[in-house]
Amino acid sequence: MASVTLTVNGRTVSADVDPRTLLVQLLREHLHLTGTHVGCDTSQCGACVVHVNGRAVKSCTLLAVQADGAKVVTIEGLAANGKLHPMQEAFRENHGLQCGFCTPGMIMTAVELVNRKGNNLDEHTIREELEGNLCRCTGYHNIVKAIAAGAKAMR
Amino acid sequence: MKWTAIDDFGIVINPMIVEGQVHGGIAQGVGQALLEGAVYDKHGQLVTGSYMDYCMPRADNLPSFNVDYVVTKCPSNPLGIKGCGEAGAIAAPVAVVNAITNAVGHEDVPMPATPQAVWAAVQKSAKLRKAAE
Ligand code: FES
Ligand code: FES
Repeated sequence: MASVTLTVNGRTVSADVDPRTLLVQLLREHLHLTGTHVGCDTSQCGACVVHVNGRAVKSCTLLAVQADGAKVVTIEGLAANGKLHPMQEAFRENHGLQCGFCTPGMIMTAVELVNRKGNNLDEHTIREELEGNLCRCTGYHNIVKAIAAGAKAMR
Repeated sequence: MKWTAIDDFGIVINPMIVEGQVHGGIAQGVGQALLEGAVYDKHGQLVTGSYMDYCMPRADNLPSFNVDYVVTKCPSNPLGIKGCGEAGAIAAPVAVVNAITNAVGHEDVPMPATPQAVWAAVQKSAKLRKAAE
């Protein structure tokens, strides 16, 4: 067993885990934060994206022990005071989801994209930056629209 | 690139959701035409069982779509509605593959028309042209 201590959505948590435990398993199975999804387990789909020290990371590809001491934010940590984060609101407004499986990862990727590249994102940039997030339902059209709108709303 | 899709869904109750279904369908159709192939080996083992081997379209493989519809009321139900689920998937592969066969000048183009398959099709058109000379 290995012990890990990290901050998840502002709360300090400690757990004793099997050293091979993935960060996404720690989040979903130990902390019951099931908003972070597992779509592939092979770093392809992006359904598992969370923020680790401010960077968008695929949590299926990081060991929990590697996140020891880190600040982790999951989709559950975005809304504040009962109000959706502007990016969540933009996905809702623009019908940026259908089944919703890819959505937590899309939104976490999008928020980090705005933090990195600013509030004025053109379609080309958004599409290139979504390279690591797969969606089977929407054809990306409304996701791209939602991210452009959410980026503006995050100003 | 410009993509326009027009269909008839009868009376449309929620245009936003109908358009979303068409967007997703087009993307599935483009995927089917260009990228997505389920491959089995000779023992029947699926060798494209993960996203490492099975290529789904990414956001940067696709343009935005221009979607419109005409409304012909469906006579066989009281609401006059028709199905729209993934409707874009019907015409999209045809449109993409027709564009390719038109460009290469013959119809021997497999699906998915991967870069390798298109390259082979272009080689074949060169051969056909030569033979015709
Ligand atoms: S589950 Fe992590 S990238 Fe798909
Ligand atoms: S909304 Fe279903 S996978 Fe993206």
